[in-house]
Amino acid sequence: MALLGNKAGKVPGLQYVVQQVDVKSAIGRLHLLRQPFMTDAREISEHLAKTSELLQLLKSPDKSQLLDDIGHALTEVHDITATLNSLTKDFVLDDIGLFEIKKFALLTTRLKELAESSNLRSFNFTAVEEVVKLLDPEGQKVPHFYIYDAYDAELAALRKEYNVVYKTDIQQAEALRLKCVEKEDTIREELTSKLKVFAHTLIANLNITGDLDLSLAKAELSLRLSLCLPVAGKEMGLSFKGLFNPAVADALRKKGKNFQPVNIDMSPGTALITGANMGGKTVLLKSIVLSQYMFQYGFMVPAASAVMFPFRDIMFSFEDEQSELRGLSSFAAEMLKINGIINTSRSHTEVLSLIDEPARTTNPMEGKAIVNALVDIMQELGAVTLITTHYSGIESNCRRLRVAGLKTDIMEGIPGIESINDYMDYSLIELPAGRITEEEVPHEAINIARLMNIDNDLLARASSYIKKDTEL
Amino acid sequence: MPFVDEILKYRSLSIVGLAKNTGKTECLNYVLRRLEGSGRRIALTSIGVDGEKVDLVTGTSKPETELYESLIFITSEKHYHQRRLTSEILEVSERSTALGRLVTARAISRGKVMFSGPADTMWLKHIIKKMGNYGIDTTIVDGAISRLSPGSPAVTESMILNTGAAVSANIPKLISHTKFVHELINLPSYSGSESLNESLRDNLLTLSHGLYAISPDGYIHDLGISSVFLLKDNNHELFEHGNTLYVTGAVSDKVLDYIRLQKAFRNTRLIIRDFTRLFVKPETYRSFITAGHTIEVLLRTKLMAVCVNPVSPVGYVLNSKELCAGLSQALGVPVYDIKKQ
Repeated sequence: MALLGNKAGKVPGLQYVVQQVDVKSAIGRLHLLRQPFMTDAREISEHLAKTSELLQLLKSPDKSQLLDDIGHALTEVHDITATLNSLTKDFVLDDIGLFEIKKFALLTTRLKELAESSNLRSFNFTAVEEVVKLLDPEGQKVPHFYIYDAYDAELAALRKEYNVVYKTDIQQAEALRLKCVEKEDTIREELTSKLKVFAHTLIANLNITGDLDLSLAKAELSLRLSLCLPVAGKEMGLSFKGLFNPAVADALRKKGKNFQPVNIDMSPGTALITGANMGGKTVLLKSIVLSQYMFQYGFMVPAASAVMFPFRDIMFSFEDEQSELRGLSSFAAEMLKINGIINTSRSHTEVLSLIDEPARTTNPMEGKAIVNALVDIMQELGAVTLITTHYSGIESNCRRLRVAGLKTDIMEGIPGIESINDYMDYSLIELPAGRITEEEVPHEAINIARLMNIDNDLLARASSYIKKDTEL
Repeated sequence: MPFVDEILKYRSLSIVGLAKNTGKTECLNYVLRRLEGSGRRIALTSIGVDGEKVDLVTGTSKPETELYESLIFITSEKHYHQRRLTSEILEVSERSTALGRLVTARAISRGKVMFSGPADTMWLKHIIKKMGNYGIDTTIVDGAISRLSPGSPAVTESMILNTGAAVSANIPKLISHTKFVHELINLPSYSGSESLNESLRDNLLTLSHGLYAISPDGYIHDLGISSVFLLKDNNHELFEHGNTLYVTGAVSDKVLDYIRLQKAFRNTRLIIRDFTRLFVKPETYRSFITAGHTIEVLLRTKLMAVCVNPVSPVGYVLNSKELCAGLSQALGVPVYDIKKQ
């Protein structure tokens, strides 16, 4: 199954989200990047429950000290997977390996205490006092390690002798040192075999640590980006109130502008969206794709509230800048993607498909025909599909939506394209089912181009062509 | 050697050799022997890979560093495994060098260790800072002067320079070469009209490639020139952001000559990481300075003493007394023959 680390760069906006996840340890980062795509509702709920638990903690002001302590302990945790793996086999650990295990055991003892005093129920560390005892024979409780004198009286005596002899007889000192090394090696072997029984407990604790780190980072992210806990719906479909796109919202905020959240419901079948250029159709589709992936990778989602369903496949088709590099025209690349969507939807119905302006790069006559056919097929297959288009005359009997569009008459004077955002209403209007007529497809392309100060001659001539067409 | 008391005034000291076999390791061992009774807490590390038992270049034997109890040391995993003493691990880094992670440990017994350390300047700087957590008074760095090294010994507050017959068998030549290096060590540190703060310095130090301009408002502009050697082909916008240039890599004769000969470039302020980045002849350097240009460094260290090894690796022995007296007079810093101490 696709891991988050591999998928992040391929889903619009997902990389941005991954980069915002502030894990504190290498093991937490590993858990983030190796997070599998989940299709089981119960599994997703378990993940979200952990994040919610920590979000509760983040929201309670009297727990900030506990959280600081947890965060501090997490930054100290190293990824000792390699050492723990060699412990499960028959390798004798060296001092560095033993040091790592001791330090980790002390840290999990601390994390266990902190998790318990914070009432975190999802993170059950196993006590490892025995491990600490083995590696801390002098009871110092500090995360340092060597083969202590306390392990063996004979070793202690040899070391004493070495220190005395060192200044006078370097050869004898070297002989004594070798004897010490021999003793130490025996102790390393004994320690390793005693520790071996704890290997799986330690591995489990390391996983819980990674889990805790990642869940805490996800909770912090939820707070920072105002994400919501989605409700898992039983019916195939989606329902968002106040859906937004974190990366776009962030970019707008930097310009002193606000993102207008959108409400949308989707159920089995196809919905067709029309709307003016710059009406936010592509951003809407990308926000849905992003939220769905975030949900299935165990994140809270960017909306005020959401009811979501885990799909087996999430498919999308956006304009792809990479197609030329692969030697395909944008039309060819798009057709391949659409082919994939149809094939997948034929094999099962648990598919969420989001298709942005299909067949826009070919002639309008054939383009319209292709969109008609695509809408028909997707409607029949019964998956959940959302398609945007600029074409009028789409015949299908599917559900239809339109972006509300400009709030004022554009000719009344909008200061410039930069401020179009302030005059655009991005919300969706439900239209009666049936053929999309000429009147329902907004004709605002030339007006918007005018706002952009596009060449006057070009626009004037375009307008006269429109006039000629309508007069015919 | 009286300068040992002087060392304790600084939080960090590097010991560097002007060439191989100038007695750097012996100098380090000597300093450690002297510090042992001082009651001060000392940590020890090195820059990059060093400490081979036998000098790989010349095949002459090279002493390991001898540590005493309670000394804190930092070396790579590989060399930690080869240690010949009992020591307690305090910390293992997450980052790795070519020889493994860095192990911070405390010597429990006497014995010998081979050293390898952080590969770059910022890491070394971080380690020196971190030693404060262990109550360390002075961190000593076994340094190397190398054009290729991304790690610089100049990050330490003070320095001991080792020179000797391995550099030149001719005493006047040896003196004049060492004197020039001393002059470079004393290059002024970068400061002035800009409000240079620690973060601008650190930002410049993290840059590893290319040529940059620093405008009077303290902004760093990438000039898009990957190497200073390509300066000639890319000079059109060189001074768009003022006359302060930061060169990340090595600066050669060619670069100084080029800047000096162009009448368009006046009062250039050339910033380099530290003196080890300059590979220039004394004549070129002096012409450059005389023409009104300046060279400043990000990292400046105080040269505390010079140690000499009068024995060359091929067996040639210089007159120690004459050498020490000559150097001391030319440099104005104490000079010691490490083998006589």
